[in-house]
Amino acid sequence: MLLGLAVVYFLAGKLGLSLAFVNRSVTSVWPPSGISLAAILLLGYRVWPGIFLGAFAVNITTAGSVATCLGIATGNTLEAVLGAWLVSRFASGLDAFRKPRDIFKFAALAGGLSTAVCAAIGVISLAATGYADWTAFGQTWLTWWLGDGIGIILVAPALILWASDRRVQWKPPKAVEGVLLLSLLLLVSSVVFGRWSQGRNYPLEFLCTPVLLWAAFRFGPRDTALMILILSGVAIRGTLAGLGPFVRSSPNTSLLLLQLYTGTVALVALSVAAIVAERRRAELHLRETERRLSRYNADLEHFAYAASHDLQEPLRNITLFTQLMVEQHGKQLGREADTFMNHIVGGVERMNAIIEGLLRYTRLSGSDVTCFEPVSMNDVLSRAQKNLGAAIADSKAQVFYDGLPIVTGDREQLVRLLQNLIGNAIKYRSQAAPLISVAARRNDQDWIFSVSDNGIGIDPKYGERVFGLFERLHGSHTSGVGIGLAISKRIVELHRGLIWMESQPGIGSTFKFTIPAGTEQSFVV
Amino acid sequence: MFERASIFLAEDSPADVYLFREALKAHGVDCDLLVFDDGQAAMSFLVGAEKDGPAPDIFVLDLNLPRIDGRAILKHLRDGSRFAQSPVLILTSSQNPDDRDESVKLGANRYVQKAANVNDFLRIGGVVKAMIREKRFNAKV
Repeated sequence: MLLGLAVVYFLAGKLGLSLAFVNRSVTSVWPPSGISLAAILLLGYRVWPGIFLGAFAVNITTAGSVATCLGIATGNTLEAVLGAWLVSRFASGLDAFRKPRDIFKFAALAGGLSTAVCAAIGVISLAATGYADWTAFGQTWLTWWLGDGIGIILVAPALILWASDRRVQWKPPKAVEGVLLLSLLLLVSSVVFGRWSQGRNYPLEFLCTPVLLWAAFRFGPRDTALMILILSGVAIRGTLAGLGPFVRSSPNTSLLLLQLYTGTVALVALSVAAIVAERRRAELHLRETERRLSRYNADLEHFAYAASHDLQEPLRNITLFTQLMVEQHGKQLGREADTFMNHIVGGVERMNAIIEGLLRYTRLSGSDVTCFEPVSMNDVLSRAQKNLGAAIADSKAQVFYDGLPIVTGDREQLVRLLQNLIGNAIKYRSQAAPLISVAARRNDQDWIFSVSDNGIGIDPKYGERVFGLFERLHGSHTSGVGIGLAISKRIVELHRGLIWMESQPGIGSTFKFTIPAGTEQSFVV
Repeated sequence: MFERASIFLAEDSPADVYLFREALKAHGVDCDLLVFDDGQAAMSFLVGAEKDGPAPDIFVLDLNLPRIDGRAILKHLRDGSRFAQSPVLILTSSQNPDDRDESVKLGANRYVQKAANVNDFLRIGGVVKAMIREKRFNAKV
């Protein structure tokens, strides 16, 4: 593998050095820097000897002494290692092309920083051994730096992205589109950099941008990177032949200008491709989440149904056979049989109430998306009162209320909420007949509802605990299974509100909850 | 009060079979009760009785049965079988309104939810008795 990398590096280096103009060892087109960075990121730091070997071989066969070439090879190897470390540390490593932020970090750190170091080492090696002129240091360094940096920006993304995902699974229409895209790219790049531009050299390079954007929007980062490489190849060939908008008097200047152009376009196109791909991933993720959520809800519904059926079935049998036993054999069982039966039947009823309450609570927890609509709280209150008809009549309770507002919410849930709170006010009443008052007032963002009673009250230290599942703080002399307030809390939370309790033992309790007020709400008296 | 009836009961819960017998007894229904505690057995009987053999006066089906459920049995009965016109009573603990709608659509004559109180449960005997009487009256006419 090391040898393979060295050979690839060598061949790419020879190709690059065939375009060396300022110095036999310095070129503005240096694909090996992209290859070596990609190699380290993909294969690990252990492949550095391959890079060193390739770099040494390509230089020793071109120009310079052994010392010069050792210096250059050290610089080139260091560039790849340092670049890979910086990219891994700061730009998400192999995932650098998934986010524009990482792409720019990649360009600055690997394309700009590590290459600056390498170029310095390289040019110093040349100058110190007499293969370059110290006076031309600046120009030589700039060419080296730009050549390496742009080599990284153009070549590394294509290698990394293709190595990470080699699958090409295009359905026929997509394949046709791919062929069209490639044809258009070849056509446009030949118009801009080909024979057609001979003698004209119009500044038409902007024509390439839409084609790359097409790739970015419709095909993704990987294919965009490949298109950039192809464009770069055509452009370099044309520019060297004196064709296209970047041709200047010296071939080195022409190539430097071209490379700057291609590098910039590559950054833009890769960023756009990353944004588009990121959005597509987010959409897919959202759809997947939606699908999962609806599957969970369906499962929950199914579970709830099965649980209600399977749990209530044996309970029904307990009741029925206890009753039957007392009915048919009550005489033999003695006088206490009726009392025992009532305890058994009462226990079963309680169990049933717990199961139903739990199911109601689970269904609420599962329903994050409820159908909200404008709901008149006056209507909600009268429905709740109607549902509580028997309890209100038995306890001689009186319910007072002012005009309540219209809120946005789920009607059924709000009825259940008021029913639970008023029901509690009746259940935990004192010796006196319950007086319950329901009111609403408005602050900046919310409606604050309150349900106050003159009941037995509860120690304020239980303020939070009363809303817990199965919390019962009044002992066994009152009915209730400790689910009502948990459900109430859940309903208020589903309406993005808060619920709390204010209470004084012996005087009464007030339960307050908020519902966000929108613009459409108005007071209905 | 009327000649001995034959009742087909598909019910997997022994407790409910017992209560059903009690309900018939309570309403003085004198009958042969053919009990099937799973859907497959019930279906085999129906297939075997297609040509000749005993013809139950009424079919009482639970919806949730092992292997083949009550809906499938009901569908088989109504689907051109020898018993296509026989009265069918669905007796289930399901509280799902969809089950009632589906049963009626499939051709059930009555749908009764199993009561959770013994006196209510025993009323089912009266319902069965009325259905048998109606069937015999129709047969005479």
